[in-house]
Amino acid sequence: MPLVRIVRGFALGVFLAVSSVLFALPAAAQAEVPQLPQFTANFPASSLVPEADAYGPMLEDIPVMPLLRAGEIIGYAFLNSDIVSSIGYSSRPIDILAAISPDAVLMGASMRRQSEPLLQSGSRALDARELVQGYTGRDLKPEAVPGGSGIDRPYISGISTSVRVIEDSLVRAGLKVAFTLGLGGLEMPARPEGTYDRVNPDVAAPETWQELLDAGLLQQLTLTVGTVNAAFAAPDQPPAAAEFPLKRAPDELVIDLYATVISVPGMTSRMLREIEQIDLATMVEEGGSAIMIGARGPYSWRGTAYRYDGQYDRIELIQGDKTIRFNSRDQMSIYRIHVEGAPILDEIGLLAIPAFAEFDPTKPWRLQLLVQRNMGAIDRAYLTYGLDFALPSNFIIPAEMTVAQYEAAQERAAKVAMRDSVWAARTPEIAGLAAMLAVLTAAFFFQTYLTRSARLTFWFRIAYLSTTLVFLGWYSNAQLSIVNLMALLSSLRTGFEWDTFTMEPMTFILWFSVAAALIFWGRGAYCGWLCPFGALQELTNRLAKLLHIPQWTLPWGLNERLWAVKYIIFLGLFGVTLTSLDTAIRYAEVEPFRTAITLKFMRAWPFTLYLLVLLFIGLFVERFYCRYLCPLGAALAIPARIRMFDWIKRYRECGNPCQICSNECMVQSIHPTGEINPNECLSCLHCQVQYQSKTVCPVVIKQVKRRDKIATGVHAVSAAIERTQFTNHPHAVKVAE
Amino acid sequence: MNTRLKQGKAPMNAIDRRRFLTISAAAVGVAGAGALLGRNATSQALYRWEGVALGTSASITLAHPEAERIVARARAEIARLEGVFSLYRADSALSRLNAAGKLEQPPFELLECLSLCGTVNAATGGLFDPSVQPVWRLYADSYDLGRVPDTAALAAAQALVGWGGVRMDAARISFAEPGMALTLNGVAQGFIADRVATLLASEGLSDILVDTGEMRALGGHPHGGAWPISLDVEGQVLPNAVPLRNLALASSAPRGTTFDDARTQGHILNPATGTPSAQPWRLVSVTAPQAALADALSSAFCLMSREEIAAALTAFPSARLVYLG
Repeated sequence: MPLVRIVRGFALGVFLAVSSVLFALPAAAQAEVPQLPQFTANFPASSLVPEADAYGPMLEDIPVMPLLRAGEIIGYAFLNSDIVSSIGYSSRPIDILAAISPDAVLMGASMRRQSEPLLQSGSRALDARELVQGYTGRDLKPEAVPGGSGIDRPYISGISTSVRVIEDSLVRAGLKVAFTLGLGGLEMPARPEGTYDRVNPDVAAPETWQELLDAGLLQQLTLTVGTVNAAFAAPDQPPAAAEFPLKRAPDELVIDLYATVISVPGMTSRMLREIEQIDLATMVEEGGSAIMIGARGPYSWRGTAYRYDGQYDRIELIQGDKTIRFNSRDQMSIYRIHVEGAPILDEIGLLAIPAFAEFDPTKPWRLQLLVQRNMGAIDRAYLTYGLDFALPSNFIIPAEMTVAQYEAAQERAAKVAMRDSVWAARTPEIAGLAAMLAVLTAAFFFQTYLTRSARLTFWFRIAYLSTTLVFLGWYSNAQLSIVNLMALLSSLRTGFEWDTFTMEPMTFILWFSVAAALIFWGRGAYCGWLCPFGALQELTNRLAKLLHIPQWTLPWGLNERLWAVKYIIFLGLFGVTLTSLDTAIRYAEVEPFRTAITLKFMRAWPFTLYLLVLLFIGLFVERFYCRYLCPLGAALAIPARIRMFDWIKRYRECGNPCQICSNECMVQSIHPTGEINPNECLSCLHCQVQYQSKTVCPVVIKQVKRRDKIATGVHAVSAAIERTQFTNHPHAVKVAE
Repeated sequence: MNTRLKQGKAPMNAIDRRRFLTISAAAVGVAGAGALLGRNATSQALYRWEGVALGTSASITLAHPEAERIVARARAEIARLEGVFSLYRADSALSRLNAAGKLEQPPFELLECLSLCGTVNAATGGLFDPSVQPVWRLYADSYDLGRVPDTAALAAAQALVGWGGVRMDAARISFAEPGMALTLNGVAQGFIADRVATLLASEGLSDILVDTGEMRALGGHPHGGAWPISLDVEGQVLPNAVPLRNLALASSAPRGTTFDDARTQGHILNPATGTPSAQPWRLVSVTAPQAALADALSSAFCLMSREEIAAALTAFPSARLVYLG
């Protein structure tokens, strides 16, 4: 079967690629470019909120468009996936266009795009739409406190992951918009510690004036008569300015100015006496800072205007794009700096900077000094000089992470919290699944003991399959699907995240055990025991047999060729996934699982009809769907040959010539030549029962007889047994007898 | 909450086209320089920032290990100065002055810039006059509605023009008449280039070209020699026409932007008559030690004859007319 071999080689390569990527974790969060304009372009404002008639231009700080009515802003539209991660079960964002009022109440919400596997069918998609629309009127203000409002999440059986992502992303995106825009009185929470540089309060400043200057803790600006006169004579200055020069020697001082951030603890304690330190502490408010300016020379940095209006009009502080001006009310004068080597200064002021000015002492700043020259009665010329200050790095405790990193951590924490709540809610189911897995593992490990009794094995299997169908399938909706693999494949392109796959505990645990089982036993552990739809087929077929419905065994040649069909289906879906996950998910309806298990037959008639046809065929051809059509089975079969152990025991006589097991294998996975095809074997253990059967297996029967004969001491036969052991052939035994 | 609506293309953004002409010409020089910089002895990768300053595309190119941090500072400085000079931002110092007719505690940069405006105003016989804004506004608003400005309204606006009506000291700037307004679009771009250059120089940088619509060269070309700047005369490029080293270049194209669709009403208005420039110039380019001065002069020269320009230049020995035609 060259086709199958090619398929295997190709898909095994893919499988290995998948597993290698599983351990690299590139996290692609929200889209870089806001998608809001695209979505609003196709969705009129009035559809989102009936009162609105247009969208305004997008805001700069956050991808939000005002909602307008007659030009007035009545709310704000946003796309959840622009603002927070809304990656659903499909590894792709659930896109919801929503609007929030100035009072932080959701005014409208509309599902615009989703690829959730379980929300694709007509009625479910409709449910999801209604669910999203139901958020209209939801007040987000109570959600702003930790723990949120505690409103019960709407729960739709089987699609809890998608529902939670909808809830979580909509509320968190809405809150972020509300915080950023200050809606409903909500304010951006204080910037978390660790995301910004802080002043180290424990570093002491050096002792002498010169050392302070050398360390950059004091900055100096010196202007002489020569410099200022030259500057006022520059071509961009009024010609008249040059006509009023300072009439002193060029090297004489105009101003010699020193500045520092005095509120840095190391500087406070070095420069100020205790009483002054107390005064400074009183003057500087929480979150504020203070600088010190001290100067000598005839030009005053204070000027004279402050005597009338309190404003210092000759100095300003610039940091980034902020300009800070000072008022004489928020300053205190000192007369001497008690530092060794400090010059005698004429004007020393400690100037307070209020917290709202958002001055950051760890960032560089510049003090600008305005120098003006009077030209006649009213005309004045102006020059600005700057003094640059940057706090030395040993005074700074650097930020541990950026805001982006912090937000990413928050985003992760939100996901973990959501996952934890899902896992907690499903603890009983998880326990049940764990018990089932433990039982199955024990059964496989001790299969020799189990299969000694045909009755026990039969009833164990019936009981286990019933549990699989009812508990795993209909109760827990834990049916694996090829869609899981397609989502994984798709996520490898868009950015794989563990969180997405750990969101649904039952599926995650099942996949994990499938991976383990593939290594030990092959696909059979899942397909033969844990697949609810597989169980449904087998149990219905058992009933059919009970009712003596005739079974049709396919001719071997046809059976072998039909095997290929499922691989073709799998490859087809695989290819479509590469182009479009949405389309692939539609084609994945070839799996009847959703109809049979998740939706329990409650579905549009074409789907139900398809399911019933498959089950009907299954009454005559056991496990018809598993053997020939199931793309998931194909996907699991491909790596089946990597299993490390061969648990299924065989005799040399099997198939040569004995065909009993081969004929009885429910899925015809035993070649007429005797070997078992691991790609097809469902590990039902039937052939292992036969293997030990004293009534069916010719080898066992012969051995039993031999043992009996030894016991009765018939010598002639012992020679024949010698030969039998040599050839180990059931027919040979007959000849010998 | 510091959310702003995105700046739409305001009608007053008319300066754009003129700026664009110079920039597109300069971009060749800068890009070429970038390639050379990259190949130069310094292994430092080239960092180029392109953005917007006063509604016009701007760029800074440099090779420095901390280029990103330095450019971030320069951008903050540009943002801060936009907060002083921008006519498109209602919260800028200039807009507040225009709206209220006075401004307490004016930013130092506004004082300095207006001081320069006074100098150029005096040297050009009043042809450079930021107080022409009321007429400018009337033109822009009228042509926006597809109308020729009303004669009576024009006379009323013209009556508000006059540099003598602008009073300033460090405590306050005020207008003599209500309704007066200033535009610094003929000088602020250059002023910002100067300030950014000063900032970069204080970081110890040299061999950088700051382009905020007008150009200020800090040092020369990193590969040696001056920065080769091309000029664009109404679409006709004069390659490497002006070598720039420790010098600023400003260009004005009076008809690069027009109020009307027929492209007859150029955007540079004569403050004496309240009408667009009657001079035939397509491009006026001036070099000076400061970009602000070059910018102001190039704007004023659009309204002057060759002889008048020569006369005005005697007051600014360091400034040079590098293109007129």
